[in-house]
Amino acid sequence: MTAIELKGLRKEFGDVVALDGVDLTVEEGEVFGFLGPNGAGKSTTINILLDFVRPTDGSATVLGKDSRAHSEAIRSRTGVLPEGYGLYDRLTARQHLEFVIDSKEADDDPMALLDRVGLDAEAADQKTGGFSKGMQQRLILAMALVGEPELLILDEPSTGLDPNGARLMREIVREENERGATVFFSSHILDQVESVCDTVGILQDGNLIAKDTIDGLREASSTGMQLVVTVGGSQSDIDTAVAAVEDITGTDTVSVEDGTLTVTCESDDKMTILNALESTPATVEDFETESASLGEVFTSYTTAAEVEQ
Amino acid sequence: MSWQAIARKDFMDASRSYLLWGLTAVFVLIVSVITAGLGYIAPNLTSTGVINPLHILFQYIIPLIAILISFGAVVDERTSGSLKVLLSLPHSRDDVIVGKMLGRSGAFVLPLVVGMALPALGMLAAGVTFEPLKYVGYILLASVFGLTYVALATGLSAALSSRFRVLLSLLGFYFVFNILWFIVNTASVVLILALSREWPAWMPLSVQETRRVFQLLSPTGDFQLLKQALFNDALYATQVPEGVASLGTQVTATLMLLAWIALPLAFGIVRFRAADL
Repeated sequence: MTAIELKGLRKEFGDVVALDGVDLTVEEGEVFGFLGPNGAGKSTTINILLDFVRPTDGSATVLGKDSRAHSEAIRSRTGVLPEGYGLYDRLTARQHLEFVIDSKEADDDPMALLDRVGLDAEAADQKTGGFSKGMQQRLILAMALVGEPELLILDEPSTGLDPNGARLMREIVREENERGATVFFSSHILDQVESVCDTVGILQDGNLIAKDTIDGLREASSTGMQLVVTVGGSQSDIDTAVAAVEDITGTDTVSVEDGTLTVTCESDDKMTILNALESTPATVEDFETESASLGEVFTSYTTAAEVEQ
Repeated sequence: MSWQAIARKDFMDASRSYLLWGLTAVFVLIVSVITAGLGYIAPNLTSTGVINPLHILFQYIIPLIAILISFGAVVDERTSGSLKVLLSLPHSRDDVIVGKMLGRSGAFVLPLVVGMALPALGMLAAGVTFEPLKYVGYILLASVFGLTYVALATGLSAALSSRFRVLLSLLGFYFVFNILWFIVNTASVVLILALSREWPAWMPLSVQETRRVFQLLSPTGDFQLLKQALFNDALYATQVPEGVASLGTQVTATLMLLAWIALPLAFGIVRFRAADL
């Protein structure tokens, strides 16, 4: 069964096209990473899933139900960490959770949930007006976990979290997934996605430009590897070397730092590049290759899509 | 029951704000000062004698207090982003408005009732002639009158997306229907009479009837009309003394007040259902 299904989803805000016909299927039990640069349309998609905004065209189905017609039924089975949310400054963390438990007719223990996200008893009875961004984020995550939801929709969940908080968040995503929940989360921070997601979708300018497993994406991407070359010589020698490499791999594929060139290229080009460097005044002192991280795959996808336009 | 959860939370939220306590203090202070002042001047003071001057003041401040309490009901949650938390939960948008209306109604009625009840105890202790039916009846009427503005503020708060526009529309309504209305009412009759020397035959209603209709259209007019009937022992009575509105007119005024509660809420609900948040 599918947890989320988008068909030809389109959303215009005045003249601006936020989503340009997105088709997407998220299977039940999956951890799905929804990637894309800021402004790509990730939050608009999530807002449509939650019926905060209405599609101009196309449809969204969540847990087998139409997102517009059965929004309450969907939200009663879904835990949400929305983007750009605000808490009730005058209410305590515990009161927030009690309101969610009350609203969802669940029977969770607020203290157990707070403990799970790393908020202590002292924070429980503090008004959230004095909370740091990280504490707010932990509380809203605890609120999303109320009632063991079948689906978790997390919009940029690591925002404002320190590395420990981000790790805890990933652990909770894994635990919830093991319990059987489908997790759909958006991010522009790729490392987060890489370690927890089964499947990734990349959104760019309102279009879904890729959807695959992490490994599948890495293979499918033309960015096979990174070549790191240490070169010697004067600044002008290095500039000449950079120009020579860019003749082969294209512009913006080379970055220079302290005499080290980092080249994003396909593995077949490795020897060609090294040979080209030998024929320049710069001397090659050392080189190594690294397989691309998802970060480079992501950059490769989004910049390639830009060039096509 | 989804709207109950929202109403509970909203009232709990409001009761932690200084505003609610400040308002209660203001009500207590106003009623106490007026009672004490009148008691000093007038030796045979009755509780009704206290309410008469109070009523003139209440006509103007009750709407402002109701607006102050309610205008942010939905729009503030929209601006702060807490609406996203609220609507991530299984609440419908209608539930939000109904829940907010109830929460803010409580936040308005509570200070009014406490503010009127404490000085009443003082009056009883001081031996002022106390007319409980009129006193309690007046609190009820004043509450319903205030609720028209709570509904108006909540409805517009849901219908518009900026805090400034909500406040501007509300103050505009207050100015037209609470201040300008009586001037327009009187001035238009005077103007017609001055121009045509007598009430024109083609007018479907007499001078008195026209003024009555004007009065009925404004919530403040309805409040005034019903208060007058109450204090003449003629509220919803079939026989009314000279100058007091007939039973039919009193019922119309009551229905008008209820309409002023229902219509702004309906407007807010329709607009809010269609909004992109």
